[in-house]
Amino acid sequence: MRKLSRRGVFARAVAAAVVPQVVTLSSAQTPASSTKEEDMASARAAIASSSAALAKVKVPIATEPAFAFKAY
Amino acid sequence: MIGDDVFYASAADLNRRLKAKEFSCVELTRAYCDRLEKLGPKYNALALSLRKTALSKAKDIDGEIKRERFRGGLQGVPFAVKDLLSVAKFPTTWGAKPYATQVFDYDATVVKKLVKSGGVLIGKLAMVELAGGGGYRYPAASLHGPGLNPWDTGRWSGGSSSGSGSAVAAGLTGYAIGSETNGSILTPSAFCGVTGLRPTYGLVSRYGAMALSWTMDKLGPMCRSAEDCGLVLNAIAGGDDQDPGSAGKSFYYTPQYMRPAKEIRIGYAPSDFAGAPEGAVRSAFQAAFQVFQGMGFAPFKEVALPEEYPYGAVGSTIVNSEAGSIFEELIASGKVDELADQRQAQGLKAGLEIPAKDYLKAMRIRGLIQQAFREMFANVDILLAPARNNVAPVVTEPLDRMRAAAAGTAGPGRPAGLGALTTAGNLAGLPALCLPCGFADGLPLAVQLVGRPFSENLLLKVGVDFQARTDFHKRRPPVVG
Repeated sequence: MRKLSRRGVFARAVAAAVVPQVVTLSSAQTPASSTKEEDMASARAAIASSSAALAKVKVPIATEPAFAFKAY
Repeated sequence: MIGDDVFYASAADLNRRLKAKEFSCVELTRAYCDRLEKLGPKYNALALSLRKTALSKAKDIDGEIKRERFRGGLQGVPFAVKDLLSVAKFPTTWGAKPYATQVFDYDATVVKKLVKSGGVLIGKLAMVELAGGGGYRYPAASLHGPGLNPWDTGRWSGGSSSGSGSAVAAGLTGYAIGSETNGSILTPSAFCGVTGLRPTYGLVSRYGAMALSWTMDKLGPMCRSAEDCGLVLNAIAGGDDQDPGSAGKSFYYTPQYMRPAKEIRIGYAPSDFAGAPEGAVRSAFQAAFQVFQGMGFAPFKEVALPEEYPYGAVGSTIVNSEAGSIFEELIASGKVDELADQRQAQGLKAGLEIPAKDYLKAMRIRGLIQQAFREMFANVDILLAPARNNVAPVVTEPLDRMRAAAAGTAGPGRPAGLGALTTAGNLAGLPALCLPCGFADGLPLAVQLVGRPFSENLLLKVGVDFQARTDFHKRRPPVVG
């Protein structure tokens, strides 16, 4: 389980308190469950994970990228 | 008198009743506008009411009907569009604060075509900001708040065509237009219990629509029946020089010319139905499967997607790379941080860091996935699978886990069978029809039918036949008055 910063713990507690209102406010912000830095780290981790998954696939050398994309 | 039976009628039925002069187009339009304005905000579904222009158009339609100048099955039927489509001189927000005051001076091609068919545009519908590009964590990722589900307002309506799903389900519009890059028509259709069609990539022009991924974006109808999806697709499909992705193909809704059921081969994966969550969800999917089995098709065949491809990683790498490029200016300006969902804002920024080798690898694997489908469709005509393997989540719940499972990246192993069909079908540009197929705990469930490129008529024919045997698409949610 990921260790939360003190700021993160506080943000989660605040989020838990405001969540019911979020549902009814038309211009609500999403619950602040993490900091900007944590969100960026999470986004980068997802990219790294995808990159690793792609690297495992062996693609025949003649396979071209689907640039001129058409449904087959 | 415009009553509930009218608000929940199919577009085909509304058109018939207009021609029979049961009510005028002005009366119908006014009633739908009242309902959309009153109930739309309760579901966070309404982005913009277009009452004034709609009533003016309705008056013209009444004149046409009076003179017996009939234009087809959508004439006089009120409709609404996802707020990623431009309507000249009115705000087009893309569901996002940085674009809240954006105005274009032209109509999107689909809007133009529907208006030309006699449709009456009554409003623009809320959506997940920027159609979810970058990866949002919460349903509240929208300028208009979280999409609330008419079947239970504590549940999400699905995204990113959230307003389109809610509005059709709650009878706030005759039908709606949504968009799909990677599940954005199928998901809200399934969660809200409406019939949604994702057309083949390139069949419907995207001119005037926000781009999220040039190679994956599609526009399609969200309706109250499969027949309505056929009528709407008939109106909006066709080549368009203004869309570089246009396939230049036409579509005519002609299900009557499809081959008989006994010649149609259905492929499915037993694990998709037997492996659904235990209880009401599994029972509903299995009951729906039995209905399909009783429709006289050729013997069903077991199929599975190749397990060697990381569908979720391929899809996210392509969408995030293209979205990062599309929104580069927004990111550079710093206004990306105005988005409601900060995970999404950071995801868009991170998209610019994806190495070219990964994008190219993903695009090459995409070609292999297309080839796998080509081989699969040599033996079957339609793939049948759950559209989502569960009911709509609680609206405050983080979506990360749900999305990962749908994309086929969830641990400990990727879903077997056709578990990654939504992402895989989008990567291959294939059409899909989402059909309500049951309920669990009072919430809708749906299956998807996926076919070869440009096989929409076949999917629609099977959809119409399924809906002739079931009534899930006709059920009404307990609309908040």
